[in-house]
Amino acid sequence: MSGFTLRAMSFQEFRSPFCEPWLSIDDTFGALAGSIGPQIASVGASMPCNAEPAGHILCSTLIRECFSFDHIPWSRVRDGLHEYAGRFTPTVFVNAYECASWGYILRYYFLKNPAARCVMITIADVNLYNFSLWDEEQIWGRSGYGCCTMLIEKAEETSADLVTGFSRGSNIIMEFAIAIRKAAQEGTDRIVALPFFPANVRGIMDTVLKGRRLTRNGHARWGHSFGSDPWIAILDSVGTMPDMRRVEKFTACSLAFNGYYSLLDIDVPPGAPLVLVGQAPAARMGKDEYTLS
Amino acid sequence: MKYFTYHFEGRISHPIYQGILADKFIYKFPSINGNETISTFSSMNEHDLTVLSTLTFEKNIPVLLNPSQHYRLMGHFIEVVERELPAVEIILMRLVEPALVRMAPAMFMEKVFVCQDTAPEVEDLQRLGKSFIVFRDYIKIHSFVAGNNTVYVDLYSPGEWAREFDAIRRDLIELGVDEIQKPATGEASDGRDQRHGA
Repeated sequence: MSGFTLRAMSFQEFRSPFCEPWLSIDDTFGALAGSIGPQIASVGASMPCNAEPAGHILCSTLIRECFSFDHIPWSRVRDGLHEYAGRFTPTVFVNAYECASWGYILRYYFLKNPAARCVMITIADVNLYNFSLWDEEQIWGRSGYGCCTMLIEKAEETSADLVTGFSRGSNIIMEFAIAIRKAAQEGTDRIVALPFFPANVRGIMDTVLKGRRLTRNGHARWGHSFGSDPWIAILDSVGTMPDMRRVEKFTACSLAFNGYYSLLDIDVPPGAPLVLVGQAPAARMGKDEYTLS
Repeated sequence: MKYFTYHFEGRISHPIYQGILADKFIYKFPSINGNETISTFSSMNEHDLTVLSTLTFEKNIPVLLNPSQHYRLMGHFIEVVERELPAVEIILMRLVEPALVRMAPAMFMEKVFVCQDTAPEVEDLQRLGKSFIVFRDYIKIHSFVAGNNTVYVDLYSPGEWAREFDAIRRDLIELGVDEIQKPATGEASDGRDQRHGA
């Protein structure tokens, strides 16, 4: 068993472009709040922990220019979310650790408050200014956009279930894969939930992680969805299980562009509310949606 | 909890790392093919540059540190705090634009947390009774990034740490951060410091 349990989680894919390009940044965030807020409220409402969450943090890889351009203060984004998310509104925004932010957030929140049991994290990635450079990249290939909210509970005693680290060299894929190999034992029933990468990059990881159970590569379906990748992989994996009657064990793994990484052993109990909502593949620009679980 | 609070406010008015080679660790661009020189803006196409051209930016503030040097400054601050005030439990730092260069190694220390707006965390850390130090800078690291080159440091301590804070203050001044107001003396507060804005 891991010291961390996934109590509830929901992912929603966003269409791209998310908004018409002529919308102001305030209106774009208004639309974003309308997408993210209800998801947060629904995950919060299914809170099985008896206490309030010790914190709720919004993190992102791509939401950055609006703050560096000083186009909108975080406090206004937060107030917009509050309309939908109420008492579960995130208080803090983090993008420094890029796709690995969720792991550094967990590390910090349980360090500053060891008595805390539950933390909510929302990972939102949207191309606010429709910069084409975010749509596709050499290493990660086509990008996917969306929003994932999760409620994570920590047991009183945890061992080394959370690993946060960073690459020191220039081959970040290899260093990441080796870090996972050290953390994920061979021959166990724990499934390694990997980020979505093009086949050539995934091939490196498959080779280094030979002998481990790995989630399937969702790159062709979802694109590289930044920090949400391993969480989509978990949802996808659980969704393919015909009848989940036992706790499923995963190691969620995320890698940032600059080589920072987060690895977390996390258990998913039967009955945890899990939702995966994608745009219909044939209508990425349309409104049709389907729910996988 | 009663806190002693110490405050430093400074401004960078010249390129403090001029003539110093970039830290190899920080500057190395981690790419699968070892490309170390690519930057965000060289990756932009005509559409992206057109979008940028419609945005307005403050043009009268000089760019005195590049992103790599900015991380170097943040890493240096952590090292100074570790040297002068190892007892401090949390180091909070403000960052709005993650650069395409790697953060300084010290920024990954367990007690360090980097977020966009430190104010809500300041409130929570006071509620939890933690000793902590906050480094907020508004340094303009690129012509497209907002900033006025100011630096703010706030220490919240359970006891009188004036001497230690003064050592940190003097280190920043020696580095080239000009102080723009006298440091506040250590004063016990009721734990609700209103100085924290953005």
